[in-house]
Amino acid sequence: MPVTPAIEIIDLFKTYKGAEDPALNGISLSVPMGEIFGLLGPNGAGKTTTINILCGILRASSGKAHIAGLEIGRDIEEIKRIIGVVPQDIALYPSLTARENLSFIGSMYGLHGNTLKKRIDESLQIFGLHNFANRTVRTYSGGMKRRLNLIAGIMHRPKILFLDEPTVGIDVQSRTVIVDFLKNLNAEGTTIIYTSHYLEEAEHFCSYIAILDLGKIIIHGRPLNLIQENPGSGNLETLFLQLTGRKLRDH
Amino acid sequence: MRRILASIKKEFFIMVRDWAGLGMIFLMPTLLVLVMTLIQDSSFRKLNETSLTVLYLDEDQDSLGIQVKKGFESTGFLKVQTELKGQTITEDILFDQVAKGKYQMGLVIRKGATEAIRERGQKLVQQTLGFEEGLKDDSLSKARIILYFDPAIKNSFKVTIRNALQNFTSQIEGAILFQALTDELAQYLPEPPQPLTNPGGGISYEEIYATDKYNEIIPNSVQHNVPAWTIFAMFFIIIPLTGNIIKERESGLATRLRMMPGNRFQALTAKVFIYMIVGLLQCLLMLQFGKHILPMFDLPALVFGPHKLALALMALATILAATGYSVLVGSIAHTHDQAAVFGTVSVILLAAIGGIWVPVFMMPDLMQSASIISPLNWSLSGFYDILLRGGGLPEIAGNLASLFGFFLVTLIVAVVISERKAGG
Repeated sequence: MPVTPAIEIIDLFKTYKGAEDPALNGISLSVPMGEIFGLLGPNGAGKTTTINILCGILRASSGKAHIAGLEIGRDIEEIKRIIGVVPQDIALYPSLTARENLSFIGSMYGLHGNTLKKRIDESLQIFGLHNFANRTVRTYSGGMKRRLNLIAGIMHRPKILFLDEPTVGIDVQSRTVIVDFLKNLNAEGTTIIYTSHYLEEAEHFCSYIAILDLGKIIIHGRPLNLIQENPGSGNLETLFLQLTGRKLRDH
Repeated sequence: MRRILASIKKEFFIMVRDWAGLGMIFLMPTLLVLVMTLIQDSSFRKLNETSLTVLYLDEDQDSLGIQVKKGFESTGFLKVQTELKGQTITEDILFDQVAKGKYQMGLVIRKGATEAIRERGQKLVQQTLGFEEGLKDDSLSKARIILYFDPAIKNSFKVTIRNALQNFTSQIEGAILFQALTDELAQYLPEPPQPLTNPGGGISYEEIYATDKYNEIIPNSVQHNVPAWTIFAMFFIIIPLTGNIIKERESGLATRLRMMPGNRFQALTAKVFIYMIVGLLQCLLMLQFGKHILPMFDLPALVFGPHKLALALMALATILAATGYSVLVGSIAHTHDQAAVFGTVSVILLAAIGGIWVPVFMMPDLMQSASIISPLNWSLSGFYDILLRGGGLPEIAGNLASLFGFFLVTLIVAVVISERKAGG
């Protein structure tokens, strides 16, 4: 019996209104369940566009995409229930406390009563925020906000978790807590789709990667295999530069 | 349902922790109502029943002087002052005070005025009875009354005063004429006749406001300003509400919300509900302020009219229209600054056109026609119907339909625009 992939993308195109070049230029990809998949690429490569289409907040110009066998567009409400998203922005209400933010977000995913309360307490405990649960988010440090942002994305125990640069701009301690937690989450069966500019972190964290440039996937595979298959690269960062060049990518 | 309740709870916490926004929502309109009502009070009084003090110098000290003074005092809007700082007024003082604008009017009744009227009456009676040859008008002495007016006084006011004065003096002239006729006839009759008296005017005047049910309420500064500025304040939620929408969008919260189960209408429903409650509270506060606090500032108390349900529905329709408009502006604007500037200016313009600043009936014809495009005008005329004309639901049905329709259209357009923007 064939196993349903976590993500399946077939010939996906996206051109923004008024743009000359497509943001996604016919990408196709299949990510098996249970992977930590790194979607890497320079600025403007199309990573966020891909994630936004997969999460149902952006319409593709053409092509198809499935999440856990469900079709984007047609089954979007079902998809929203099984995915979790941790955006790069701190998407939290600054005037609400951590508990109020999580309570609201949990309720949106159908959690309520004791289940919701227990889930909030557990999550805050894991990320070291339990002592600050009743403080408004605007009083939090950058690292605390980043951790809370992550909790908001995993409150409902999603099958597939999208992480858009989850460790950007935080200290080593916070980063370690986040990465360790994500590894545990993956070990429990959650598929993780991850984008980052920290290639060293991606090399050690991801079980599978794809490098995206100018709207196309230029390489994909397991990080170690890719490094070995490309002599002279030595590590993921060097391989990345070999493939995408050193030209600045302002867009 | 749980999602909507969670969203409402969230919006409630955001709202109550935004002290600046709350201040704008509740404090600003309270101050506006108070200040604008006080400022416009004298203008409205002029339109209705200006109380004016008249400096009065009675050199005559006879019937005419006494009757004119009585007549002025009986109007209820003219106060007669015969002394200034404990000193009897002289004509020079009177002139000086009016010239300086301290009083808008002064009146001098010249010495011998009553006697002149008597003499004229007697001569006219004698002429009527054939004892005198035809009299030339210039051969009769005339009573002289001098009116001093502040040059700034309105012409319509001068006309009103002159008419009132003519009315009082005619009454006195009539009485004197009757007396002269009685005296003359007594000389030729065996028995002295019953004194002839003027029985008063043969015409009675009845003043009724053109409304069936509620004709006690007189348009005044309070009846205009309280609903007007309450409506303005309701529409001013555009600042906190567009701020809320744009902050959500800029911080990525809107994106997170779109990635979560549930549709956009659920999130909007929560916002609309919270702002609807806030608007209704605003309205309740302003109306109570008009009823209980404004009288403490020597202003008339707001009178609600007999139809409280109509009043509540009009408030509801107004706040919904304001919310719909705010959501629309929040959806179109790209930044908070854009929304704040456009929102503020557009509400001020709609308020001006809609008769919030200056009542529509005081505007030129062109602006009166233009006023119908403003939802603030639909609301204000609805409030007028309830508060001034005693109207109920049938009278305000059109206004309610327009405001609810405006709410629905703006909300739907806002959702379509947001979806298009988000869809890339």
